[in-house]
Amino acid sequence: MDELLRFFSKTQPRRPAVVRQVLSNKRTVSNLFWGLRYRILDWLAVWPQLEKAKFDDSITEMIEKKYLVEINGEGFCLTELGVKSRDVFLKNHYNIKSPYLFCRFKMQLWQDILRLLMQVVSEASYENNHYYVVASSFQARTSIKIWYQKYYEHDLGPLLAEQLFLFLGNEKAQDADAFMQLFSGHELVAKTAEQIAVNSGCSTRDIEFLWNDLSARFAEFLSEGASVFKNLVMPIKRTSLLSKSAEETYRLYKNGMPLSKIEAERRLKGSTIAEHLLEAAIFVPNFNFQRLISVEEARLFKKLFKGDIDKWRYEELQKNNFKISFAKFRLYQIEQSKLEIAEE
Amino acid sequence: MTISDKKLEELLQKHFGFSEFRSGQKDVIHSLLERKSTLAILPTGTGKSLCYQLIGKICKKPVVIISPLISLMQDQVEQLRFAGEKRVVALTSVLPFERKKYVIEHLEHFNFIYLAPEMLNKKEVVEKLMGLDLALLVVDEAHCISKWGPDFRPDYLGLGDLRKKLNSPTTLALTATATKKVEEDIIRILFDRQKIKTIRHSVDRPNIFLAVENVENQKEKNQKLVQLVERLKTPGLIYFSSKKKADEIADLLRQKSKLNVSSYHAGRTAIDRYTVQQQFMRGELDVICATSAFGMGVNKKNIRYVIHYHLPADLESYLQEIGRAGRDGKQSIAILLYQASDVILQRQLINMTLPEDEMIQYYMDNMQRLKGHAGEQGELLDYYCKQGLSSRQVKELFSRRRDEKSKNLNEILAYINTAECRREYIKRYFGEEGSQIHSGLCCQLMGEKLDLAKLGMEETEEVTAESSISSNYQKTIRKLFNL
Repeated sequence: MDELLRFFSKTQPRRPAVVRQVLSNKRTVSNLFWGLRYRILDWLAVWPQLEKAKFDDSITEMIEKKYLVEINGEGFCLTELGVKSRDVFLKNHYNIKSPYLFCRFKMQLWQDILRLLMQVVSEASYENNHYYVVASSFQARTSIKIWYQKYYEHDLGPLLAEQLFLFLGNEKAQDADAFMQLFSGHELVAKTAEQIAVNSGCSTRDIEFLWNDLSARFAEFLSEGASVFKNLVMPIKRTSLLSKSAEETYRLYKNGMPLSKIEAERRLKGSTIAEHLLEAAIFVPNFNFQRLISVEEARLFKKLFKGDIDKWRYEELQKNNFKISFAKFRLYQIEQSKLEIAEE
Repeated sequence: MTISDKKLEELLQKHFGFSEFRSGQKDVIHSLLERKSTLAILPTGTGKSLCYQLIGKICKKPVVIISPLISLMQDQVEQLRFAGEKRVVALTSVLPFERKKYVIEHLEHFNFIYLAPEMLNKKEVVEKLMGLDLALLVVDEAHCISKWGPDFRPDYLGLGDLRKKLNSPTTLALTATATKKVEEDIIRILFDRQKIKTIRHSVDRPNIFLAVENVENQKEKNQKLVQLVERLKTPGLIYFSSKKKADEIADLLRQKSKLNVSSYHAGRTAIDRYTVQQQFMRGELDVICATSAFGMGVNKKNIRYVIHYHLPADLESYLQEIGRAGRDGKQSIAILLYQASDVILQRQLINMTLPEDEMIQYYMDNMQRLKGHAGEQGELLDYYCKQGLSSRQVKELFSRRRDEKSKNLNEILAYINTAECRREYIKRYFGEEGSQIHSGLCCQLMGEKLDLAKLGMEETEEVTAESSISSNYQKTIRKLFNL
């Protein structure tokens, strides 16, 4: 799994567990914060099926090959050899272009819907209604059914073809060819990722990544357009990256409700509310940090913490007997990280 | 109700697009139309499901089908949908909660209701069923009711009671293979020893040549397999007991031959399984390396060979699996590759599926804590606990099951090592009368060389793998949407 090298840096020590948990969408505020620090949050949920054992084996292998080196117990950095290997890998394999889209859509459902859409429209184009429906979830079938009942009178074949031509016209022909082979339709059976990989000389994982990337981008393309397919995509588009519960807390916070009242209203502990707000601070652009960090606190933070944000330690506050919560310290780290990223 | 043969054929054409019935189907349908409960023992590939599907269409009342395998049910549902039947549902544990609730509440809306046996433990399901005026109750794979059978399902034991609760509707028990003992069990448990009609068609499939190839070790087995696959007419099916091995050999065959090969097993995604199955049905794949997950409900007529890479668990499943070859009536072949150490793997599989005494005792002592965490074995033990069996009784029961499975395995070994006609052996095992006259097209006797040319089983045309040039996306889009 040399593709993992891209998530490590030559200068910043990074912990493999954070990388794994970001890729497989294991959300804790700590993971999300370090994901932000490592600049890999765009890759959140890109690899939901990533297995811990396989991942750990790969890391061990990369250490043995001297691609990664441990730095003072803080994490691992890429070696010169690691950088070379990463570059070779990126040159020879499919590169996901828009990883951030993977959690903007309910991907599994969308991929089921997309396969079904292609088949239903294809069979309808040949006026055939006797066919084996592609394997898909009940939810996907219901979505297509409801949508189709509304739009079946449109000439859907040419309309869908038009969208595909527009979208795929901007892709490498080889990628577009592989993508279209993943669909079944009238008198046409899809190929598995494995079969396409054998035929095109790339790896099965390349094809799986291509499928995820192009299907996510096609969802985005349709959701931004004005075609009849927009209504199929919009219900599965996520308006927020926050978890459901964090979203609710943030809604109340945004409406100006005091934290003590949010706790009571949501019947949650103060620490949980704080976690929700940290999650919001990471994901929401223009998050209002000033409401949670007073001017004095900000002044104190500025005095105590300078330089590499990764190296700031909460113990510094405790050592000096400042009664400031860890959540506020983390919030300040998030605020400063976002400013740093904005300046890059 | 009696309907003439001619009228039945018209209905068959109208609803399913077939012009004639297959052997046994008409007898079963006539029997059911006369409202006689029937046990139909029809070999695999004879279109058993069509019997109740046509009854449902004729009677215009709901048909309830109890089926042991979710994948099998889903296949049947797809087939009915393909035939234009919209009111069909499979009520199983995989259905999302909301949908399940809806289906149970509206059960009367469906013409064909497939039920997993565990669903019958739900009071609301049984109550709903009791309110339906059924055309037919169907127990598919009825051999699962018998403790003598290889696929015994504890939930099937309750089907006799269910039938009574439903006011003993006309019932069709279906199975492909049943020994006399299994037949007696079905009649006793499901029909409470009532007199019913049994329609039995021979398990013998004369167009499938039976062969066993002995090998010394794994390497020789792989070499033999590659040789066979390169020479045999396609399409073919190779069965494995392990998913990993199925993948591994599919890879090997792709490398060593020019054939299009893919694997099929429960470890692959649903979409891959769909794709591989459709490719095979359309003739785009020459060989499938599969586990027993493949096959039920697959109706491909021209499969030329079925090879078993591992030992089958028993003769019943062996017959089911080789029965997928030659449904077009043309010469086909079943080859069992046998390596003496294969027996160890089979014995391990038996031990893995049946809990040992220690496990039984541990589970029963810690049932509350372990409930829901002990996998398939736990579910099985849970079932028996619910029946009020003591740990001693459960241990005895599983000990008997283990003996049964060992006995079944010994039967397979006896089939492999028999010095007589293999077909004769099988027919005798299934209690069929009349002796087999051995011929050169019948089976390979112990020690005989396998002569594929003589059987006309050798591929004579040059096989070319599908072009590796990737298809052009514009062309694909135009083809997809008829532009």
